[in-house]
Amino acid sequence: MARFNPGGRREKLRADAVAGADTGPTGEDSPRTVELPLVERRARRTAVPFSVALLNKQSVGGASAILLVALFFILVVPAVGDAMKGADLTVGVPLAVGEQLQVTPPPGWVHNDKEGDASTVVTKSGAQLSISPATAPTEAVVTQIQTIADDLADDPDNSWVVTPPTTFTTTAGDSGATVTAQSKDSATQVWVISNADLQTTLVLRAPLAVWDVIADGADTIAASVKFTPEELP
Amino acid sequence: MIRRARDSPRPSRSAAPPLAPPPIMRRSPRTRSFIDVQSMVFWVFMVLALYGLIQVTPFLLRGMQVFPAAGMLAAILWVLYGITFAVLVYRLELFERRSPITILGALLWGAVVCAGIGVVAAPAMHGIVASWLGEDSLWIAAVSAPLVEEPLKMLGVVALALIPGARIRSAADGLFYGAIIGLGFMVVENFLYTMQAAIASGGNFATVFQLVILRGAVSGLWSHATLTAIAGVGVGYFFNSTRGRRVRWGVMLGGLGVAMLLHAFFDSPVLDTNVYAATIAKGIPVFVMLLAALRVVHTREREILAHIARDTVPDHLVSPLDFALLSNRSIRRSVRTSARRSLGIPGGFAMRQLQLSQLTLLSAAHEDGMASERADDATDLVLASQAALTQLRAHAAAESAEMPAR
Repeated sequence: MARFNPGGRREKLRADAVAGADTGPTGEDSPRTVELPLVERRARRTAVPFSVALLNKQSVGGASAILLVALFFILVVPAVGDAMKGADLTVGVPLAVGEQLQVTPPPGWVHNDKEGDASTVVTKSGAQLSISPATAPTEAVVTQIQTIADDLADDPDNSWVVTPPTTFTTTAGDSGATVTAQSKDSATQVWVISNADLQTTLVLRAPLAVWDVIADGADTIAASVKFTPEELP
Repeated sequence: MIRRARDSPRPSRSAAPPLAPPPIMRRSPRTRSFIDVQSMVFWVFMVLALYGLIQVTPFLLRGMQVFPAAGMLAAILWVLYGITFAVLVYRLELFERRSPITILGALLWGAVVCAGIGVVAAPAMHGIVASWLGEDSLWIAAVSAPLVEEPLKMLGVVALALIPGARIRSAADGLFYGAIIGLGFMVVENFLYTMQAAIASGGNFATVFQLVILRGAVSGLWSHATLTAIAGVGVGYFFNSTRGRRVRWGVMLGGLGVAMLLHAFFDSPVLDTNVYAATIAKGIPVFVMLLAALRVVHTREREILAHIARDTVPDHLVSPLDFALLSNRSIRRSVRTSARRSLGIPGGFAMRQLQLSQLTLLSAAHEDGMASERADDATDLVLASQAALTQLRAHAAAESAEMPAR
């Protein structure tokens, strides 16, 4: 049975300390200051949270920051967008699509044809409207638009919510039909317009976020379709 | 009974009045909601709301004028969706019932400011990205939408946090108001998309219903509200942590970055063959991230309130043991069930009132300090609830004492 010795632990600690002193570093092998490891400073803590420091303040700086960020989106981003896009089509001046068709774009649309594509393409804010040259009609516009609506509904590459087709009349008095489809983040609208002798198809593809803004302009372009058969060679 | 030290010299109704009133050190916000006419941020908020209203109103009214019936149907469905979602978020809050006026303010930012500025900035950003990626790129929406929408929505949480009356005093508050701002934006955006399709379909009701299902039920649940909630956590942390500036900025901008990346992934053309399957598959990372954020903020909120219960609120109002019984929903429910079994339906109701008032008191003590009008009101509620429970217990004890005699 171990004998109770209240001073034993102290003696052991002293012995350990003496032993440690004997084997400790001497002046020659102790590290120099430059060799000591750098102690990383811990993350600073502020005295009070920002939300408490704001109490009873007018927060002029915060208000300015909010306003500046908002102005960045209201003024700077549109200005950069305007600078980066091509020259707008002249408002009110008809744009020829092939030889027997013309459209009149509203402000903000840019002519952006692609090589090897017979269609005329106009773009705005990431949306593109492709207008095919006039050809001889093969079917009634209502039949054609229904076929397009069915194709969109069965599209294997995307899931569209397809609206029922509707009919309309262009400014020039030609009959047309249109169908719209919307997926999770994009929209498409197709117009088929025909007079007795010629027809054209317009296809709009737009990110959903800009659809509201460009839809009226695209509708205006579709309504402005004018066939010009007198210019046939 | 142990009384804890107050965090301010102002006396409250639950403490004995001192002989000479000490000078009042106001630590609580000036107002009970975000409406604070002395704050410049509030006025900037109002100016931007007016600007947003001017921008977005023509788009909101366009469909209503052309096809009023379809417009009304879409408006009713989306407002109902928004109210249901908002009530759900409000009811699911673990500890705090936030100011309804500030919640309306958050909805206003999302529905009017974000949507209004978005009408100007989103097309421009899409144009910039289209110039960069090419007009045919399928990634235009995935790149440009997060660059505009996520910072604008997060800016609303920052604006509210800069108004002390809004009481964004924890990461959980940031998450909550982020969700509400995102919800406001989502409802307006989806209403506009629905109306655009309704116009194109000649006011077709089936189109309206289809889009409400697609954009509300299928893709809405993990859309803007969830993304801004994640970004809001960072804002709440930034404004309430005492860590160094770099850490706080890192967390806030990191939250925004995560929200933007998730938004980009959600809008990307990856897996888009079937919109329903793709939406759910893409929603899973967003949902997992939200659950992780919820877990973190609830843990932090629980720690803060436990600290308040231990050190700030007197034990006769909310003791550490009381808080242990308030710390999660299942415990609270079992306490109410136990009260209902022993004291009947009024007992369950009284216990519910006591729990709500104790949580209100803890929130008030955390946000406004214990020596505040709000804490005094909550103290009155706690005392009244305790008295009601005591009365019920006495009544039940008297009844049980009479039972053997009978």
